[in-house]
Amino acid sequence: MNALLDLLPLPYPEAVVATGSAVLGFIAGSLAPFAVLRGRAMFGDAMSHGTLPGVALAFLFVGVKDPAVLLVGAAICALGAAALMIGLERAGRTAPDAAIGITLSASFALGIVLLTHIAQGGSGQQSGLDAYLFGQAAGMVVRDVWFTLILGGLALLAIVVFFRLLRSASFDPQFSAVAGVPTWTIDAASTALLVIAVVLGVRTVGAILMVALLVAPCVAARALTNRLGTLVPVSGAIGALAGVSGALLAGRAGLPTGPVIVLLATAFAAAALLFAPRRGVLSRAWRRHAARSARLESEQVSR
Amino acid sequence: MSEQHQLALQLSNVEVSYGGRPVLREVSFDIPTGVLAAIVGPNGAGKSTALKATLGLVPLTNGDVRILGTTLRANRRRVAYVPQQDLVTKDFPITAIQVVEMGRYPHRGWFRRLGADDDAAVAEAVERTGIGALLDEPLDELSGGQRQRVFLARALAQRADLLVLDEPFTAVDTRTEEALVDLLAELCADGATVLAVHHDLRTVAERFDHAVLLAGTVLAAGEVSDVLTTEALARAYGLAPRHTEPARAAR
Amino acid sequence: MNTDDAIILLTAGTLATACGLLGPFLVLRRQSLTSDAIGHAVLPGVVAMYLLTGSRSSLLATLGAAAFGLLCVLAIDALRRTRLLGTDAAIALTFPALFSLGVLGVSGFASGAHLDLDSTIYGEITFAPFRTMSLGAVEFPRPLLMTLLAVLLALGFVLLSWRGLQTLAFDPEFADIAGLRGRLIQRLLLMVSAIVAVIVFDSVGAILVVTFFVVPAAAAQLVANRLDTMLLVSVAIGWVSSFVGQRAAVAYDSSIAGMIGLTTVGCFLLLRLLAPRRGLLWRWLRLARRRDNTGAPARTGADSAQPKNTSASA
Repeated sequence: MNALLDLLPLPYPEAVVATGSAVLGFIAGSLAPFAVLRGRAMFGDAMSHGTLPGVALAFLFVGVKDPAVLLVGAAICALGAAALMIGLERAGRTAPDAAIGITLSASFALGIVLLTHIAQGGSGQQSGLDAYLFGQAAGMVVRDVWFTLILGGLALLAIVVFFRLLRSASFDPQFSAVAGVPTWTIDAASTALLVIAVVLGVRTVGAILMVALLVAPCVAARALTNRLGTLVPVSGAIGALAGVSGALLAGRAGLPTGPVIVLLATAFAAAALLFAPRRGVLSRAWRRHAARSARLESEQVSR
Repeated sequence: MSEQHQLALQLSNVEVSYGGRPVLREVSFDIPTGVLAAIVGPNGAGKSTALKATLGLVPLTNGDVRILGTTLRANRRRVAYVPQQDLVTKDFPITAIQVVEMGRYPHRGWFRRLGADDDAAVAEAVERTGIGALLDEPLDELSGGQRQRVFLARALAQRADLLVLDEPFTAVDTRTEEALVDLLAELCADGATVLAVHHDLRTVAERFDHAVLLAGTVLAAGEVSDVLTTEALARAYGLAPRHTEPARAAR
Repeated sequence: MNTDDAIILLTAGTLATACGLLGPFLVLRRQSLTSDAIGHAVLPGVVAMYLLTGSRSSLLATLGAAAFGLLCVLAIDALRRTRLLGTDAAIALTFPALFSLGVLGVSGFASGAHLDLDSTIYGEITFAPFRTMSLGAVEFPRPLLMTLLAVLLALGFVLLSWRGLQTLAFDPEFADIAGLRGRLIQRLLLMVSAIVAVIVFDSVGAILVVTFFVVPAAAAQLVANRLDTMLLVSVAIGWVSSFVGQRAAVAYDSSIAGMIGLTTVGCFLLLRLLAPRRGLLWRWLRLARRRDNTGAPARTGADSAQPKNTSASA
């Protein structure tokens, strides 16, 4: 990897951050569609907030700021948040959106209380935990990039291998259940993919903004294609583009990385929604306009 | 195909509850092989739930379901299901042909490539449902009738012995509905069994062979003419709906 | 409890009252996450108004910030109407962008002084007693004045449009047809919520906006069978949580906003387990009893009051 990074016309730390953000953007963009397309976009939001108490608890238990340990804590609590949401939904009387709202509240309130507690311990060790709130790309090292690449790569491999099953079950869970794939499996699979994306991304983008990196690339890609097989890599590519350009821009301008990446990803989504050749707002308006004028013309001719 | 006397579907004493509240109780009926059968009943009668219970999509609190003489688990390939349209993920990026090909997955599994016989089954299903021109269209740009043809083509491609359809004719124009019912009748003539939830009593009376009248439990089941009697309908719907009269007269 | 604690408690409680009056309608209309979005989207407004007026809780600044909440609602609506994405994706696309703008604003221009990222998260309720203004001869805590105004606004809105809101909550189509102006009332509801959200944001931070609006209302939904009871219960839960949360924060020397949020969620979970009739505990006991009686294993998966929802999302 180092040889590769040396090839980039950038100072070394900047090259690491740019590469890392690109990899992260690609992973998040290509893992999220299986949840986002099923109307579970905000699930990702509650789960990324769920990482906060996880990080804090992991730090409290282990006492050191080892990224791997924090990551495991984050993953466990994000899964817990998902379980809470699904459980509340199934228990009845609470609508899915309210279940998400409750989980968000629980995660965040617990996160704040734990982070305050840690801050009062005042060992100086804790500084950096609040990076999980707003994200921090600076300080990313090659090891982080490798980690993202390997874990994310495994998840991507799983998507490729199980693509047919994932597509069927997220499109028509009932049909797939009759064919022998219980409906909970697709919930479990899309949740697992979200957890991986969230856990990998939350330190760079932050818990509050992570959801944008999950949703914006997918929305942009959906406007551009009608096939899931195309959508997944396109969404990944858009995520990667937002990641790398955001990291470079923020680094140069001395701005926080997370918000810049998010704004760029959102801008890509907005542009795709407007200008997409077939599904875009403008193209559809143009087609409607053309159809109307054609109708008017033919009416005039017939008169 | 199965023997003449074998039952395609057999529900005995099925009970389903949601949150402790029973939705279906003591539901027992048989569907013989080779008939075009309908489940009818008022809103909230548990028609869809009955289908889902049959296919193991909701757990039974009591009772037993036998499909093609045995269990669903042993017969997954032979049972095709067309769910209600609002249970399918809306606006999903998928094309018509990709949906039809899904019908081959129960045979081919989730990993193996589709082979020549799969392609043949898909091509035949496409031809019989008349969707040849739509194959590369994205599903969300099709009309209600076109979509329903695509889903029926998926069921045909599966070459199943039992087709289970939940409200297949909602948001479908009358001409498509007639064409689709014709197609279902053809399948039955070939020996398949079709069970559909349907709310248009007139179509059921005119075109279906067999009916189950449901209102939380089975009020009547058997030949359509025996089931759709004024008295039974009055019991199911609380009063005799006017449009059942011409339906009876039509036969 | 000293005067400062009392002021903090009163501020939180009045805030909970305003949210408790509006929250049930948001929850029933499935707009819970819109309130979350508004809670984040007002940040750029708060930043801009702070830069312009130099103050966080003046009436003018509040209205200016609320305008961003409104902008967020309009943007979500416009995105949804393109039919290219669902409501939840529209929400998830809109608020992070606006929040990002706010974060950039804070770190670029307004850092230091009285506005920092911490206060967007933790709120400023701890300082409520110290931010006073003179009201005639008495010194009055300004945040409390703002929250009282919020209650007046919420209460006035709910009382004036009670019928429309009631119809909207249960049958929005009917509300439109019956000339009750369902759509207008829904817009007004979101507008009033946006103004209240700015005040909540100021006191307990961005993320607890959704807590205040949604959690007490969702908890009330578990016990109340009528809309008016639901409102009362959700206000009551807000007060109980404010009190317990504030006390706990003092006892454990922890974040007041965080503790209030935790107790609110605690109240919800308690009711989820123990609410008369709908509590999960009773349901589990019933199932266990039936299993004992019949000897057959009861299958808990059938335990859903919303069969359609569950199967659609399962």
